[in-house]
Amino acid sequence: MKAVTLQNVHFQYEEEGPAVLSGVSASIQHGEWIAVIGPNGSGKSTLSRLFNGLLLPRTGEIYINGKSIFSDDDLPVIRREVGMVFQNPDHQFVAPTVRDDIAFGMENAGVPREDMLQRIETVARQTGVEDILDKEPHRLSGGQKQRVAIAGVLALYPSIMVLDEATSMLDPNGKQEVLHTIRSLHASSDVTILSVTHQLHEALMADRVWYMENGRIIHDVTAEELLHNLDWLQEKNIPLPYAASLYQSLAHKGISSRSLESFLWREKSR
Amino acid sequence: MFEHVIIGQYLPGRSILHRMDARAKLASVFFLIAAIFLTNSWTGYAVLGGAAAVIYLSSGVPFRYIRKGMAPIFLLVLFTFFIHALFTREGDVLLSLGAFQFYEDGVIQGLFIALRLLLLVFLTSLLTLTTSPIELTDAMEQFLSPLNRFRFPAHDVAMMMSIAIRFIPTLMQETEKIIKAQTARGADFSKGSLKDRAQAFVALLVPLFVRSFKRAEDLAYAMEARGYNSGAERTKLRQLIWKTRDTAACVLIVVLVAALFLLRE
Amino acid sequence: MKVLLKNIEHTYMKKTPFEKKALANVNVNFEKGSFTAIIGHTGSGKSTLVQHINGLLKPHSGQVTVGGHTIDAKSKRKQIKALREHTGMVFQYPEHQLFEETVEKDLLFGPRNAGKEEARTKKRLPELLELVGLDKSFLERSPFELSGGQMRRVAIAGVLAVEPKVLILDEPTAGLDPQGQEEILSLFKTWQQQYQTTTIMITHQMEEAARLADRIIVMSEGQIIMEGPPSVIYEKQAELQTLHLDVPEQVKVLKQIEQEMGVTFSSYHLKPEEAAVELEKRLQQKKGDTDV
Repeated sequence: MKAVTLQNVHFQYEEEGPAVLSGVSASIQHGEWIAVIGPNGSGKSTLSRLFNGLLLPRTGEIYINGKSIFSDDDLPVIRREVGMVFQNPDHQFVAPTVRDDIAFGMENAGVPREDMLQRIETVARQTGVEDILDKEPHRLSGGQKQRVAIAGVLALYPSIMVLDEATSMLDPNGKQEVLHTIRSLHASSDVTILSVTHQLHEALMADRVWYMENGRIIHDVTAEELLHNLDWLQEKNIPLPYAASLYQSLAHKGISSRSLESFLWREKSR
Repeated sequence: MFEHVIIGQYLPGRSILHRMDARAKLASVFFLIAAIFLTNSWTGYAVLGGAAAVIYLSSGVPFRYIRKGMAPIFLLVLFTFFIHALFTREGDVLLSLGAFQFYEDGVIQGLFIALRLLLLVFLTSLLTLTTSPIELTDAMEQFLSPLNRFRFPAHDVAMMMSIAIRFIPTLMQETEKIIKAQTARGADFSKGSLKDRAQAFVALLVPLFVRSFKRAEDLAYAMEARGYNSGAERTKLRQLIWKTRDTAACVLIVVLVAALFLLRE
Repeated sequence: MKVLLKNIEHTYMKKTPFEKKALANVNVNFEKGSFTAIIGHTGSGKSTLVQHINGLLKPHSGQVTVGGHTIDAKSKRKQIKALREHTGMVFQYPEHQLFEETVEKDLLFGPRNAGKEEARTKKRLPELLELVGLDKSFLERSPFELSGGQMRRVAIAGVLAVEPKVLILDEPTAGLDPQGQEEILSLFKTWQQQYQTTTIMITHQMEEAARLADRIIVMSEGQIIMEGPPSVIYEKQAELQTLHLDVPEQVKVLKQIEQEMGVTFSSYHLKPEEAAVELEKRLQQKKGDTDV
């Protein structure tokens, strides 16, 4: 059984409105990390919101761990199995302190208090927020808030975690913190990860990359394949980071550099 | 920029008042407010004043916080005093100032009202200064929960309040930022013609509203994604713990209120 | 317009337990038509510094001079306003400042406050919109029905509409996709070159700083720690690291390649294509050397 199966998914926000997703079919294995890239308005964020039924497709089918997203009985289960982390760190922090915010999802799910205390401790350690549990949101950095959001999701033992541009509003240090957290999560657990991102470096950390355009997945490739086919990103006018661009120029000259490759893969967990 | 805003501000601490159960504090303040409005004698106000002083001493809050918190209502107190002093025309004339005459009963009325207002704000300031907003909402939720039977959404109301409280600092930061941005574009919030200033405030309020709506939308998505379901059964991380001293405090307050009731003239 | 900051000090929440010195004796000049990038951590004082340049903050001691206007701790509103009319500031997420019913009205807000002649400004709006990558059909639209990227462009145009002599940018590309970032940056570069605007940009990204600025200022704990052209700042890898600032990606990569392949690049400021060409040449030379 696949973690996620998308079958010919179509979506538009309004009846007469433009199609945002037009015929997306793909699937994700358990424990896989998928990065979704593509220009603004390509449908990446919308796609990510279909995973737990926040939005429902017009036509087509979505199965999460074998359960249909259209089944009213299964939707609450799916909601618990699919955790979401959104873009704006300030707009998803609900509670007055870190501890309360991590507990929010568990309170909704009716987790007993004793369990909650234990789980908070575990996930706080996993995401490195154990020292700020009593802090208020306005005293936290963006990176800290996003890690709290991840902790809140992990506390519900999700099987899939969806990150919708979770690092795009962070400063470089915040980005590093969050990516480090995601990477160690990917290495140490079998949570399936889908991360929507603008950063090529971030995409290269994933196992597989979906390149979206006009509501379709145009390329579904491994991160290695993406690196060997940078030309088509450039054709689409997507600026490449320095290392990638250098890699591409050297490849055209038939020069390969081990240090450059290891830089591009950074601390990739594989 | 907003350093002076004190009303509703919590001052963390370890005093007796801080450590009391929020429900006990809320109930006490509720009873005391009732007592404030029932009292109509000097003895009564002396007793209330003494009680307020004792409560204040057990709070460990520096006086300047109280003073800051009460400053904004000072004008209101003066205003109500004069309204009563001028428009209650009973008893002997104490003082005549041209067209204005102060009658004895009027002045007493005015003083009582002023005292009531001051005590009211004093006690509620102490409550909010020593109780974190979240504890306060929890306490209110519990007091309101019997109303659930009459389909009053006690929990949703509490959730709304706690979200509102959580976003106050965010809103202030945002206000400051937009004021700066519009000032940089030449808007003037402090001087200029009425029309210019009205324009400047539109330039502040519209972005604030637009941002708030956007935030509400995002927040609704985030809460839904995390399984929030209004009306559904939830468990709670936070616990309010009722101790013997809370019972004792409540008993004391009830005795005090009863005594005040007997002191009525 | 030339900008001079002399012995600037600024302390937040003065005389409270939260007192914090945000700027300590900062001295810096910005020449007319120059492009400077300011880099530093959150809380390093860079935002505080630039807010002095357009009078949003007054120095607690020291002087700020912009063109012929000088302000200090005692300056009155009028003096500050006069100075502000020559400066424009693009804040982080500037789209949050839009408020009018139409794009046109919003663009006219700044010029009107500055007392500019309306008819003349209006005539220039289509050109201005084009510069930020939009066309004149946007004038009649509501700013709130635009996409995020379009809103940002309108907000930027609103700042440029007053034709500031000094332009301050506070992370103008935050949250944009790489394509949008590149477009916005090149827009500012074009503007600076065309109008000789003194431009000062706060950024977190070393790459961004290096690409546009002719000078980089590094700040930490309310002071200027380093100052110089990008190529010089780039060499100071160790110092940057002690400040926990990102060493530019290209420096990291090129240094690693130097070590791996035993070559030296003529500079760490090379474009990727140039670096590739140079590396190819060096490798051939090396091969030639060993062959002989």
